[in-house]
Amino acid sequence: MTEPLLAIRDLTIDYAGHVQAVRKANLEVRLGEAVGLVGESGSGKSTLASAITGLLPSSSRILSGDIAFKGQVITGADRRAQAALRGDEIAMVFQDPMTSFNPVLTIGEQLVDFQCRMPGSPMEKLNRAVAMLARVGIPDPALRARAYPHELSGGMRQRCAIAAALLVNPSLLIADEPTTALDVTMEAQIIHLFRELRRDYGGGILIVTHHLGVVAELCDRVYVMYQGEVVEGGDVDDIFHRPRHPYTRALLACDPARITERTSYLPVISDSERAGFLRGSSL
Amino acid sequence: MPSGALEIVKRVTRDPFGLLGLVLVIIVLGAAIFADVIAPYDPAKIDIINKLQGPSAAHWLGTDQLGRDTLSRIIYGARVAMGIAVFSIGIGAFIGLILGILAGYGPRWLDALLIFFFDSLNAIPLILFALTVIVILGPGTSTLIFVIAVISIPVYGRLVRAQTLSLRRSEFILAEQAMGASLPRIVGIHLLPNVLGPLVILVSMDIPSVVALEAALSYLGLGVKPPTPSWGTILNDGYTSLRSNPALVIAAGIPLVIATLGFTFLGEALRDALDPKLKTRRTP
Amino acid sequence: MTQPLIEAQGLGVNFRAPGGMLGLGSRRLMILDDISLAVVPGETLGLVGESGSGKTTLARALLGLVPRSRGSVRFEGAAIAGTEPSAFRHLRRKTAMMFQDPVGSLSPRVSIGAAITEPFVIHGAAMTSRREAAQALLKLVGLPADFVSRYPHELSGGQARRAGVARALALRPSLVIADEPTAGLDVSIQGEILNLMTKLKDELDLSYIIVTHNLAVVRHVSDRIAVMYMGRIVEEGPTQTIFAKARHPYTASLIASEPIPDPRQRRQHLAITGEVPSILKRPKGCEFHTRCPFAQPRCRAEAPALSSLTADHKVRCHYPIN
Repeated sequence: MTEPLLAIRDLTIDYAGHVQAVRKANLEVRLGEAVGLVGESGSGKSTLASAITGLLPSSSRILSGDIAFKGQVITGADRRAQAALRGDEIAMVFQDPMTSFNPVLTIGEQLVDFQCRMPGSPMEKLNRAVAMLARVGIPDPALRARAYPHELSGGMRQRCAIAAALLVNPSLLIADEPTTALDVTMEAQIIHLFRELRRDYGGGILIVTHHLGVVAELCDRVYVMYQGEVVEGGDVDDIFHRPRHPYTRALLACDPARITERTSYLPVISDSERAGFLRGSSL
Repeated sequence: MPSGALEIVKRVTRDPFGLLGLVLVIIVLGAAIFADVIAPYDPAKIDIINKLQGPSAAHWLGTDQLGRDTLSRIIYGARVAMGIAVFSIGIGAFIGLILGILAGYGPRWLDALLIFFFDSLNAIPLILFALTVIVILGPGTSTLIFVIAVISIPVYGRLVRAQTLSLRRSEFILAEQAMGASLPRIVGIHLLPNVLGPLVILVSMDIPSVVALEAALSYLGLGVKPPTPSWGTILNDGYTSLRSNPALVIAAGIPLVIATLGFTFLGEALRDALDPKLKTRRTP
Repeated sequence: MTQPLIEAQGLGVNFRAPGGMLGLGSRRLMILDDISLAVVPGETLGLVGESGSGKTTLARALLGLVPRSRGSVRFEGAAIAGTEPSAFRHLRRKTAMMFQDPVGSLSPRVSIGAAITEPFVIHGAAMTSRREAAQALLKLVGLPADFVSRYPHELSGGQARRAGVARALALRPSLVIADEPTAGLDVSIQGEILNLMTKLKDELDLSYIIVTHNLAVVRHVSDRIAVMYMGRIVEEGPTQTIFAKARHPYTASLIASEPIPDPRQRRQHLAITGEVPSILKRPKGCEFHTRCPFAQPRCRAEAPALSSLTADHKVRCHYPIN
């Protein structure tokens, strides 16, 4: 078996004076695969994603376990090495396409700037940026490169953010709730774009989301988080059709989008069920 | 406020700087209020024989060129400084609050008119305005209060207007409108408490600069008239007798430092304490 | 036919868009146009659309929170004269609005107990004591009695939403307009809130207008849905009919765009491309023609009217899907 691109082993993170945000989490992403990380708010999925990119808030610390990237442990590595790695190897797409760009610079200027660690003249970088904008489905890319972020719609900005992430040709792309701020028809288009991009992008993709539909549409494998623990992980078909952990089962059961027959009462997760989820968990 | 003043004091004092600020402010205000009781001498009592003395057991901070007790003058000076600061800023903040809410919640033409008014006031240079008013009304405490109140109106008015504008579009205000709540109810119960917090913070942080302004104008002879003791006049006296009695100028500087630090620290601690999102959650 | 509880006819809303120096370049923007809808007692109407479709403005215009520019609103058969807040006083007492942000729609410095009993005070309605009334309302929505003295920021999204429901029901309204009642809530909590709303509807004989972009939500709670696009209703009909066979191409593509949480039902083709045009530049003719897969020359020239296909199914399209 080849070495995974990203391997998280028994990672435990806590916030100063609070409960552990992430407990003994294990997760792997391989080259060429799209992995989903799902959970409700407060499940620890965002903390885990921040740990991978080294963006953990200063009030938190890694208690035990480690994160290895291409076989090299990166937790505990010095900040500069982490920053270099983030720039070259790991790219991120955030939830809010409004705030991921600097409002006073044009999209083109920022896309050139993102390539600051790459070789080439500014002209070459701009051409590369325009080509990438075309690649993510932006009409009139040369014109749009001269636009400021506020002149673009939310969906357009999210496409630009994906273009920015792919420009440096990262081996790992982390997308944190990439469609949550978008409308349904735009969400469908972004999902479609990710799927298209996978045809020629060979790196790994980690999609962090609360939206089961996005995971089902895009991912090869899924990890489910609940209250800081990765309660289940596996092939997407297994997770959706043969879930083993009671929480995964309950979560799938209560998603209104999975219930096509009209019902007057939707299934919910009761408090007593919630209390039982983490007892005797096998993973 | 329903959460109680006590709760706010508790939260302020949890921060060491907030506690220090509160203590310093209490010292200054205490001196101002109880000046008659705590001052060892009459601040205006002239005693030429003992003029320009250094600190001693009888005169802890020495005496000035007329033999007046510096400590007593500083204590009474606190009364003048606080009186001017509280009155002038109080009047400015009150008018600013009303105008700011009118601008932020009223019709658009009123907003435009009030903004024009604030801008016009802001455009007048402070010292020029102060000098003009002093020339017309003559120097004195009430002139100072008037000048400071007028120039502080646009500062508070703008703050309140900005707060009101952002609040009026918030969903909880819309919800009140949807329920059919009356205008006084929306403004009094839902708008005002949320505007007041930032205003209180700004006021407490502005007090030191007013104290300094009063001292500066009094130092120039344009503020409080002698023999009323003011920190500015004491500083001025100290400056003229710098060679013979340097203790005087140092002693006059101390209350300025105490008042400035006290109100600044308190203001910053209040800002943290009044932010509802920073309150400790009762539910984990 | 039963008398509609609330009815809008030819409702339209214009906003003034600021522009140019000193507002000289300001222009009139059409936000809503030709809105006709009715809700009968005991019914739930789902108002569906993407952001910018005007669904929230419509909800607010029905209550007079946004002044209407054209058309009429009737409540319990009586027309509301004028657009002044006083004209809506009776309507506002008998209806309640729930806003999108569960926490943000509660006044931050007012305790939950005071917030949910505010409607009594505003309308001078009788209550035993404020505390008792608050506790009764909290019990109704399944919140513990000690929440009376809590503040909004101390509540989770789901709890704040329940408090919002309690406040909406304080005066026992006949109609509740809920703007995105499940927005910002986890899926497991969404179900709880929808179940609570359904239960209270049966217990208290309520009617709902539910404004949402979430098709899964309207599918389960609404009897009829109206789909909005750029300020107009493009299709309206019984929920089951529309989900089984949408006739407007926009409705069809909206339903087809919703990701299905099942990896065995992945979609290979995009149902719709492009994005909603800016209301500053409304397309001529049918406003959907820029994105419509079936657009014909006539669609670019001539705006279709809302026409009835059957007694209860209307569509605004020259060539409805068959």
